[in-house]
Amino acid sequence: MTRREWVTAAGVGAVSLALGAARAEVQPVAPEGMILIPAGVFLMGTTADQAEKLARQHGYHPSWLSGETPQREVELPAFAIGKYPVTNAQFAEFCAATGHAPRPYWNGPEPPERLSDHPVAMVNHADCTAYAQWASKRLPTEAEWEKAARGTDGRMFPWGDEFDPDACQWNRARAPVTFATAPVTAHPSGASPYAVMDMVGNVAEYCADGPGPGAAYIKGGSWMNEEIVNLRPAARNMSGFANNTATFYGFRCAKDVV
Amino acid sequence: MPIKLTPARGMMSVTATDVPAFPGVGFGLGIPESIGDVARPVWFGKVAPEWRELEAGAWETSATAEGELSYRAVLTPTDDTVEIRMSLTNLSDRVWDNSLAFNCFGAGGAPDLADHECVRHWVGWNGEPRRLIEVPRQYSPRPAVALWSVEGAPPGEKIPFVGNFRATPPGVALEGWLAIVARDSKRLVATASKPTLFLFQNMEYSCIHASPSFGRLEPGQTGEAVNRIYFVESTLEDWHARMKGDLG
Repeated sequence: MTRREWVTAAGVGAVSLALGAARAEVQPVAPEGMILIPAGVFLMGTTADQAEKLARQHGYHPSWLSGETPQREVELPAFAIGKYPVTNAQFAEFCAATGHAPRPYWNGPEPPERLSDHPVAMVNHADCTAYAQWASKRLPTEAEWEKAARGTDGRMFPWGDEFDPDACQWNRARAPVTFATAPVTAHPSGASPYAVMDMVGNVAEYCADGPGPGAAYIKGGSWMNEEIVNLRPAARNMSGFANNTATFYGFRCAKDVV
Repeated sequence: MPIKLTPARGMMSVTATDVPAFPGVGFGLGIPESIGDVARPVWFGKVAPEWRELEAGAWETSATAEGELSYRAVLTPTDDTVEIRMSLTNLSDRVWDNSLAFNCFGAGGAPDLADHECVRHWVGWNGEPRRLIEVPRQYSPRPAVALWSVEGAPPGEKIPFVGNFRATPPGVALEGWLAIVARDSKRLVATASKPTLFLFQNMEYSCIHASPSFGRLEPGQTGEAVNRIYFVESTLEDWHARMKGDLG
């Protein structure tokens, strides 16, 4: 049994055990709009062989993928994560309630109607954290984000190992508009094994932690990305300064469950 | 008509517009984003430079950080270049082992150029132009940025400014320029300096830097360097030959 098969079997086993145990104890419940990610082990990152192969296929020197190797087993407690990224409409509620600054591209206190259900963008780590605290939630760690995106079996993309160009909002850098986000519900075929949506493309998402001081993991790629290499949940190349805002940076929330 | 330069008064930045190769696009230039002793540079916003308009669309900028440095730069536009001739004076009582201007050239606002994934970034490596993503990089605590050693300059990891980023691949030395080729492959932008201390690129902003080097400066000493920004309709090969002629 390969490590991937073992982790998958262990994941199924954990679910079976959890279902059995449900008779005896109360199961954690995800808050509305969130999805429960069960406790257990998952495969995080990329193997050296996978990185070599990806680099060769896409014309990269393998060192450009070195930040995500080696692949490792990571165990996490159960947690809940937003089914979708935080939308402009949701962020506007936060701004109205707290006086937090509206996003510059709204051109006013409210986002344009056509962007209401698009993910909020031009946020930095502090903006994301402030929203999450206001909502009595928090940002996901990188490990939580990656598990929610690709499940336990180390798959390359949320939906499997082959890239599906219709499963996410990507490759829109040539669009004749500055913003090329899509409604967060626009790509149902991009669902992760846990039915978490929009994890790849649309906006890259800030995580709670980072690779160094003042930096944050920013995961999943965005509408701007044209390279499949940068649209994988394991990719780290777009992670950077936690202070930066960009038209392609957004976030979703997580929450502890008991 | 030369490219139009519009300084941000009191700021270390200028916008380039009316660029024939890229109609309707404004390019932000941080001149300089940082300057001085590589071990203790003066960063953007720490001084408020003066800007003076010269003839034919050229501008002069200068600033002084008391007890540390003064600098002067003359920005001269043509229809496809902006030449930046800079001088830097050490006003401190320290010997600067190396000194720089960290000039920023942002291409993120140009849809035909913006390349946040570095796939259309080009550099000179081992005597020929190469796509940046083919060059070994150093994964670092700030993955979106990388700094690159330059042939003839000290290795990046030995330059404090560079070493602090921990994003410099050891054993890789490039020519003193960085270019971004447009999606149509018929146009490009580039930054090249003489001499160059190091190169820098940031995926978040799709910005490139070829940092002019003023070398070792004793207290009271002044150094000079030139940085040339290109906005050209050209193949990479033709531009590369032209740039070599321009800067030697």
